[in-house]
Amino acid sequence: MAESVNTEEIMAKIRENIKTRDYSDLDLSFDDINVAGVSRGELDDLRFDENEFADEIAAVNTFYGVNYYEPLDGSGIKLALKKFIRKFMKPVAAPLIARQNLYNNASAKSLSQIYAYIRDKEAENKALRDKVDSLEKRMAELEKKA
Amino acid sequence: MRIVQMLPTLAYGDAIGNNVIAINDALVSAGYDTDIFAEGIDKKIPSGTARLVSAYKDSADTIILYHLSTGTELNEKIKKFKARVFVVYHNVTPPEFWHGYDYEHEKRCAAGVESVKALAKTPEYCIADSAFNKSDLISYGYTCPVDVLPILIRFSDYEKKPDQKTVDRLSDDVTNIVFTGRVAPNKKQQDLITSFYYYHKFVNPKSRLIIAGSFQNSDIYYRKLEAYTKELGLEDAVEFTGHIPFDQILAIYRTADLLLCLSEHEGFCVPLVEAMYFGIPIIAYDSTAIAETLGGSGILLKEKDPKIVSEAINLVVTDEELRNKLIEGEKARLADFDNDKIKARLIELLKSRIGE
Repeated sequence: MAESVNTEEIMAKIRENIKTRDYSDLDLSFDDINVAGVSRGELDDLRFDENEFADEIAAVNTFYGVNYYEPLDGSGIKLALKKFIRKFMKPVAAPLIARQNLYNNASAKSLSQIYAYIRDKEAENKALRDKVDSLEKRMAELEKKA
Repeated sequence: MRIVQMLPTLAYGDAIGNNVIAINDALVSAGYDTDIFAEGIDKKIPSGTARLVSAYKDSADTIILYHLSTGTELNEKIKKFKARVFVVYHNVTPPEFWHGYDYEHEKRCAAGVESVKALAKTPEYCIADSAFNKSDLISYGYTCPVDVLPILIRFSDYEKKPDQKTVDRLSDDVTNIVFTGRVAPNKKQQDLITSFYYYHKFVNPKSRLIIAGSFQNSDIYYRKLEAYTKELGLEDAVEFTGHIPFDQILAIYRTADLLLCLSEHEGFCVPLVEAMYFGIPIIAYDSTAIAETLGGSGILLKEKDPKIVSEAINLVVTDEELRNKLIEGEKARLADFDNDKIKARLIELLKSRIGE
């Protein structure tokens, strides 16, 4: 085993330094962060971005499922009461969530199909545009000769 | 005696993949007839290193070293082989870490834990990367003998040339705080960012946090980390490298001032050993296998108060005597992971099981 540093000494130094440092507490926590959607105002300026679309489709596919059992916080009687209420609601809530998940799953698959359709159509359109460009060039050359 | 390795996916550059290749080298050196079989083989793995599981010819005279780290159909297939099965257990991330971030991943981890439990009666012997992993197996009902053997690491890879561009960029007068590892909720990268916020804002504005690990842009956890970083005004000070070439990882290690690990679930934690190798002082949170891998080296924090972490970083960066003591201690601990030592122990364990 390696010789360890004196952790207690280090922790004592750390606590002393915290007292003298002018820290102010962060009023934002990671749990407060919401990865939000697009507002109505932003919609007007929105331009299609295939890569972003692909990323969002992947996010839909990873996040479509909703669990009935979410972790409950609290302890003692409060926690016990929450658990009781959850169990009491289960015959009503669980089937609704199951139906919601069926819809979410179908939506995720439909959106994935839309993405695939757009991607394939974009490729077709590009091929057609390239053909049109080359035909226009050819026409211009023929008109010059005529 | 034929001893083969089998696993669901042989990925390029991850701890398990590197371990498999290092074990293969050890088995070849010891004169065993060996192969690597995987259901998926990363395209970056040199051709001929491994073959698909479908190419495996089963026999009662073969020993399969089965690398167990996830739920997969292979966990069911392995039960039906005639070969003797030895499990090499790398741990499965508990599903609760993925709750709210990735429904499919959460389900896979939950299925993974169940399939590890379901495999309990199959192997006649297990090797666990850590005592923590061993205790998991025992709690899952494994009654066969289980030995602890650290992951075999090919240190020679770390002697390769680092990417000079990255070295030059990071060799400014800014303190580099580094964490290497996939962007994943169990690794608690948000706690790194919170602690770094306090250090960067109140102690040392000339600092950067490099989170060197892969992610997908669609990952909810990564998107939250990115948004959190922006909300804290740290976009210019926090780098998410994503998946980068090995020479850039070497460059990051070569210019790091400190490795900070606040992970809450590790079966072994190879980055700690890598930091020891590169002489980088370590601050880590005491969870799961972290203390065991550190073996008394580095600074092990019992709590994750971000102000405590911030001050710990400052002490390590400014106190040269402490820094040198930490590096010395880590160097001594590194000797326990010596490649030849671990290889010899692996062969010794296998021979004792085979009866050679």
